[in-house]
Amino acid sequence: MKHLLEVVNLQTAFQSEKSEIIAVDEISFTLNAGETLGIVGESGCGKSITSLSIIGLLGKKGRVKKGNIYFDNEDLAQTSESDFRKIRGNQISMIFQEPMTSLNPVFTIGNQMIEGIKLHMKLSTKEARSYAIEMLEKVRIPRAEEVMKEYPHVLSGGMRQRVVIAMALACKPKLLIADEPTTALDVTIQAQILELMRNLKEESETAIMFITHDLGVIAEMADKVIVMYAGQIVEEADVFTLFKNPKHPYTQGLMASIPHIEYEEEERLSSIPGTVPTPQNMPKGCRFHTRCPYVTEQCKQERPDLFQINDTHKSRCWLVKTEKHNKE
Amino acid sequence: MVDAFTVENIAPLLRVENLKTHYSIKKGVFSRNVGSIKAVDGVDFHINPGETLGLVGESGCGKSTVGKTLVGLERATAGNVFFDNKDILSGSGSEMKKVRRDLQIIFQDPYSSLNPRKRVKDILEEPIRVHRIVEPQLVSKRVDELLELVGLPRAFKNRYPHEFSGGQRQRIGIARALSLNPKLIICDEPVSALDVSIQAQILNLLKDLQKELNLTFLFIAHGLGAVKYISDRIAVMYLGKIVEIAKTEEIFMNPQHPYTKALLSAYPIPNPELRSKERIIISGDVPNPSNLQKGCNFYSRCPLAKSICRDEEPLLKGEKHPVACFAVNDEKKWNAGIRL
Repeated sequence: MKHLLEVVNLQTAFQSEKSEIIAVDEISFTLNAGETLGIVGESGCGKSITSLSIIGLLGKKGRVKKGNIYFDNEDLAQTSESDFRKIRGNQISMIFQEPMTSLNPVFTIGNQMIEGIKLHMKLSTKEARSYAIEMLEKVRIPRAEEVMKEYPHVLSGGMRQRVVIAMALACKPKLLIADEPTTALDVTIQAQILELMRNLKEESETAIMFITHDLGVIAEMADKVIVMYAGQIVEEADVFTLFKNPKHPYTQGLMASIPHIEYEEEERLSSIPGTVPTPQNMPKGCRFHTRCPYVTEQCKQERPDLFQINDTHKSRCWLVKTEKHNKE
Repeated sequence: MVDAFTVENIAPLLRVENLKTHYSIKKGVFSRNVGSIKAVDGVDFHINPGETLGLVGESGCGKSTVGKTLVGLERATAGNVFFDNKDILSGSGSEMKKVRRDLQIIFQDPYSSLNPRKRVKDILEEPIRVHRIVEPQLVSKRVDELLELVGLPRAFKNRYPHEFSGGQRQRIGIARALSLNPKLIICDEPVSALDVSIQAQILNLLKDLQKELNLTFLFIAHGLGAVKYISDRIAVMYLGKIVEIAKTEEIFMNPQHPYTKALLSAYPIPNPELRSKERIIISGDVPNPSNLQKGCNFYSRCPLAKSICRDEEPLLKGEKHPVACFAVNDEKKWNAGIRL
């Protein structure tokens, strides 16, 4: 089967005053139509940079240094900006964390929705207007017609995020990138938005890249999951395997450090000691070795690959390699 | 942690009675008062010595305003707050200075709560000098002790806040709160700005410090996981009022108020196997707090709402597990109502 999105060995770099900083490295994954890929990791791990590389919004100082991003047989890493404008917002769209900053405060909701629809779908203003109202109703905004005339600041956070989702889905994108779409929202509103996204996904064949730091949201939404640490993928698996049988010590640490509400009593949380290394002083060998409880000499010297455990499960850890070796 | 429930007649360290904090809305050239936002609107609770009370609710429910009012950063509109049996809302300036020593606060954002132009040493020394906690020549020794207490190397005291990560900054914020040997610390969302693995470090630190120094906490947060982990009892707030208050296990195993039930049900559980569980998803948004109708604040979103809920305000009632809901407390009255 042909993949909708295939990222091969992506490396993204940013130019700083003194030197070049590699923000993400050796990123490879695939995504099929109708699938939801969860990307989880802590701040600074490169999950947002990965998505911005795909949608071509790295800014002046950033660039895809190595690798390919195949989307529908086209390599987005090589696409010119003018061609990209036809894809962005049309075939690939994105939802950001903070709905207030992704809407323009000086234009009405209607204005902003109609602009994108007219640009990509070649509809008349009147047609675009009624289509925009239809989209707002689809994301269950009450009084859609009046909301079209309102400015973003009048709406609540949850309503704004619904507007952003309606805009993102208006052109029926093949790929939707959602970067922490519910992080700024309250839990009861988050539950509404997640349910909405699940329903919309069932109706269309849209593939979703769901970026979050919240393992609970990942468990709710994703089919398969990528765990990122310090600019690299450290583990990849389907969601059930990942939560049942995490292989990378970082994933294990992450899971152990969340307080659960469904358990009766927890005496003490385990935590991962230390902090994430900065790109300027990345440790030699495995990037996690300074915080890892199972560290060996090999980890300090050699960089592990993303080893295959089985067809769907990969982990960037020497332990996996040795374990496998011992079995054989 | 002391299980305060087994000890009857223990005097609470903090007792809050009918606390109200309203913000006035001003408009026009003469800043006319055109109304008020009832951020905290009649809240009662107490905290026993050595106990942790969790205060949960969504943004805008007034939980942070409660904390700020208690330390005097906001002025209360009405009500009484007794700390160590002293009324701290009507105390004089010099009395308040003494009280503030015993009542400290840790803020949410470790980036904006530390002065960027001061070294860690200066940040920690200032309160110790102002309140004359130790002799002047011992101040620097006290700073070393504080850093050690929160798990930071002593050498860090000559650095500036920007040189630290979020978790380390929060440790400095905790050290500052501890510098005056307080009895009660108000923790206002102390971990929500931090990464998951760092959250666990800070939660563990707070628990250890509580045991070591016999501290009492008011833990304000919206993350249910963290609140459950650290609290002995939990109070749930909605639009300026406490709707339910009970021991932690009670709240999680046997929630009574429909809002508490919805809140627990909406919380995503990190286990994909439980994905299919039935969820209570309440519709709509939190109403505008400047324009509240009479009756129960939750009735516009409540799945159980009946006409009584719109017409009358439910009071927080019950001995061990107080709830403010007609459907729970006054079934007769509620049954007689018409379904909305």
